Amino acid sequence: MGDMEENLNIHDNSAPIGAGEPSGPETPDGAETENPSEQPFEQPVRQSPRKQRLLLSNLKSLGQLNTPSPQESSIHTMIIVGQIEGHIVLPGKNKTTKYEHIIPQLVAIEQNQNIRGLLIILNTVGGDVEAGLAIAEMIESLSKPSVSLVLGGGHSIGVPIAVATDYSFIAETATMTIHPLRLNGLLIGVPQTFEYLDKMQDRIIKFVASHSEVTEEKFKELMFRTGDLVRDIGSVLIGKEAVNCGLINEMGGIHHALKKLDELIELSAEARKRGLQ
Amino acid sequence: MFYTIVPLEYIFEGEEESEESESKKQKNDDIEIKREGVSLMVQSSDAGHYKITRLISTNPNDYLKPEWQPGVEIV
Repeated sequence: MGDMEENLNIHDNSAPIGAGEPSGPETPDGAETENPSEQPFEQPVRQSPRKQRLLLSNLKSLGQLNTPSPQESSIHTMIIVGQIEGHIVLPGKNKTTKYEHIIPQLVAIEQNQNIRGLLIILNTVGGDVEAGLAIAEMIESLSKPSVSLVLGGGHSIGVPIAVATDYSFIAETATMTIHPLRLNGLLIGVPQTFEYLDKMQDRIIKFVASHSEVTEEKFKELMFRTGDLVRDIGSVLIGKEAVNCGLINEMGGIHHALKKLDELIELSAEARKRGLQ
Repeated sequence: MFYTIVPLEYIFEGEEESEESESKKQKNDDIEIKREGVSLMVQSSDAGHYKITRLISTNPNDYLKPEWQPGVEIV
């Protein structure tokens, strides 16, 4: 048991990298014991490796111990890809991002003290309004610094998600399509239907306007612009255009996004320190 | 309510197919399993074996693990 504890300590967050080597003189391969099935080494008690693996996996799922990877990342990343799936499971050929995956992950990121920042990478064509806004609100209300990077495309409901972070980036070639909301399925042809649609659309407009530099008027103008889209009304913003209209903070790539996130993490750590004093 | 650039008829294309092809499709559908607290989307290939199609994790280090690369078979 004592031997096991010593092995576990090697992966503790407080232990500096490489500290495991001199800690076990009687077990020279002690640093590689996280995979007992692959690297069988003699243990005084037979059941020890299995127990240890069990203990490790338990602690791992709680986020208390390092995974076998060399170093736990303090920045976690979330990829918003394809269609954002809502209450309806989309047919299999659609590549989807599911909120039942995303939301618990965001809760875990907020709670796990080892995670200090969140990077959101978007390449989405849009999707369900409720699910998209739910994800955007969750990201927005995180206490930890967050940065988004739009790569490829951040269209439709991807726009509120992109602006929900503390700072947003867009790749030079990435596009964002802003267009009006449409009702689908069976609907009742009464004036209230239009008002309902307008209300739903306002949720998106208000969220985007309050979380970016773009004004409500400007966003509506982009939404209803004619002559920009082939089959539709609305507008396509490519890279710098999204920055120029105030929707996105800066043009850049992964390097810029991570650098900014590190800066924000440092700032929030300083603010916390000052708050404690 | 959808807010997307993909036409709805394209998203739901092929929804109303015969049940036979539906059940056939379901065999090849991805299923979600948990390993070490991390979700993996897998396809069952042979009995008891699964082929990883997608990794669902926010920890970037998980994506570097050779045993969790897409296409790798797990038991």
